[in-house]
Amino acid sequence: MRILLVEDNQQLAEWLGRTLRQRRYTVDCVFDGDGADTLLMTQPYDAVILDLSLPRLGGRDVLHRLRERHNDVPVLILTATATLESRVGALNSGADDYLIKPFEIDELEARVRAMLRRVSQHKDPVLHCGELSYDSNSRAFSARGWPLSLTPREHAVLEVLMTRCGRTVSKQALADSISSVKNDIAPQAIEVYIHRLRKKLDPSDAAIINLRGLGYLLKRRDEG
Amino acid sequence: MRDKSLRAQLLRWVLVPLLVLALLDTGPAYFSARETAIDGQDRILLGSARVIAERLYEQEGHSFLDFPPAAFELLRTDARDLVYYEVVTSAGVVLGGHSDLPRPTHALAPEQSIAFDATYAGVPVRVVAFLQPQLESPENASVLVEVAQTLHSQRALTLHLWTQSVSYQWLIIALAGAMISIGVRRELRPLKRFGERLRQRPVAALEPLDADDVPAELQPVIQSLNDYVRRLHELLAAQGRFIANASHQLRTPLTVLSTQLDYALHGMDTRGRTEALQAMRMTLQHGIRLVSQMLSFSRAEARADGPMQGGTADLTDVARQAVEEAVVAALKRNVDLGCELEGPAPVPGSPQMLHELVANLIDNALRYGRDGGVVTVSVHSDGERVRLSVEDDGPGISPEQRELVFERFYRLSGEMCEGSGLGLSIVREIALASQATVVLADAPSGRGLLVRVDFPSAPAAQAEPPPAAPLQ
Repeated sequence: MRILLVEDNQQLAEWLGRTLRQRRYTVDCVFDGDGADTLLMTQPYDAVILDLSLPRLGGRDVLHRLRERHNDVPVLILTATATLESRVGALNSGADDYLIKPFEIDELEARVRAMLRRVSQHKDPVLHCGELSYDSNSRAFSARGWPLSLTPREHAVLEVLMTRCGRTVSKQALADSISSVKNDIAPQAIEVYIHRLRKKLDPSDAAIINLRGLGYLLKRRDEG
Repeated sequence: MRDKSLRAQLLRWVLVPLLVLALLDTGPAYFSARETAIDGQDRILLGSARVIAERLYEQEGHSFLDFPPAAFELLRTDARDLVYYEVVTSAGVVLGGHSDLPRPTHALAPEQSIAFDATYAGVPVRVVAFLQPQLESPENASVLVEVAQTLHSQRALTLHLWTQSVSYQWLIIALAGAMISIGVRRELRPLKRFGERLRQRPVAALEPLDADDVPAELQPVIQSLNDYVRRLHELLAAQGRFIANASHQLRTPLTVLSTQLDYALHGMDTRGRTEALQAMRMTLQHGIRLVSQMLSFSRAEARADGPMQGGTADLTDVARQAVEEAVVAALKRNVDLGCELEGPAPVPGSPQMLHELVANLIDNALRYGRDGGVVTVSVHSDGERVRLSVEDDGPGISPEQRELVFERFYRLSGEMCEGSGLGLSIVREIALASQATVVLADAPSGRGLLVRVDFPSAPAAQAEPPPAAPLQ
């Protein structure tokens, strides 16, 4: 899960980033609206956490431009003003949700997850692919009921494949969704993680299939 | 409270003088009543004397009196009083009545009468003497007619007249008291109604109180009250804005703190946890600084709003103290903090508030200046004006942002440090109270920011004693 965090208070940005990374999200932090706009044009994100009061380009404008480009990435607004006007304004300009400072990190994460579920059309927090299941709340994988032990990178790759279960994901898209701006992961490295994941998935009936030229997809072994 | 009652006051002011006057008047009133009574008695006695004189007739040069005792009985007007009479010729011949009535002290002219007090038979009496001329008698001899009466009816009349006049006065005073009492109560009724309206008025109501029915004398009070309510609302609105701002500003450090706490709780390694705890301490310090700055800002604002405090302070002294206090903070950032101070520089304002001003400017210079830079505080006086300058060699502030930084909670974009955005607002508010102006400029060295605060010089006589030796 790759998240863009746009927050002008650098302390808050730094520690929110750290905490989200601690919770196995891939996070890019940016401190102003211009930077956010540029990143959103060039990088794929699963979700955006956007503060409204930003220097140079306001959060509302960032959101406006994003939606003008027909980018449907879910956006959660952070705001320090609890007025009805600002909340309604945020939702009306295309935000999916909002959170008023100060907030608990658990609530922030829950809201981000809920947004992601809404986008993926899976209302059930537990995703299944054969005997492999993924609880989007605890963000834990299990095969045949046993928890799967994964490194953060493996976890990130499998998460992408799981949320798009049955559909092909290109190597580049996989690499993009687990890279952050500071830590770019080459598509070649993906092969290593796929290799390790296949081994770990072996006991279950879920398998990662390679379609040359297209990418990878997660499927039940006995399905066609 | 009771003593301040308008009714009691009015009663006191009106009734006390009236009562004193009435009391003082009882003496004169008595004498006046007695005079009237005596006058009345004299007339009656004179009338009686004339009636008796009418009964005189002359025969062959001799005077005779034809006055039967039954007729005399008619002269007795009051049953309690005894009446005496005497008719005596100038020759000393007693024609009738009692012969030993007291005589007038001096001789009377014909047709003349005189009234006097005397004692007869051991009892005080009023005597009227009347000299009746006898035209036919030789040598124009005349007859003296005297009528005397004891004083019972006279005294009774005196007493009657006196009590009547006194009791009228008392009645009038009592009536005045009652009228004042009723009138005041009646006239104060609109005020009571006004008070009731005021009591039932919602606290947040802003429109001026309507008091058309309140007496004209009280209208200024109502107007002042309305004015006071308006000012109170302005103050409340300012406080409300401040609280809104403050809560807005506190949200961010609180969110940071909550995030750091979460990180520390979920962290697996000790190093990360220690790091988070240290960061939490910094966030807390920032929060504490923010709160204390907000408080001092609201203090400065209240001070600037209210009347000038009239005092003066030595800016040189204040600046030296502020620099001394900032030494530790300067050392931490490896900043060369120094000052250029001259002799005493008295300016209007309180030492505490001016200290706050200087401390905020130094704090800003240390915070936003360069690490390892130079910060200089100087105070110069040219007799008319005192100039405080705080100069750093940091990045400075672009001219277009120089006005904006005075706004509360304004922070420069891309600002790396944890400022509150209140420092310069505080400086400006305090400067305002001291009639000083704050100007931001480029430092003379061409690098960094120069903050100039120009104070009017206060009369030297009122300033505090000059400081010992300048620092540095």
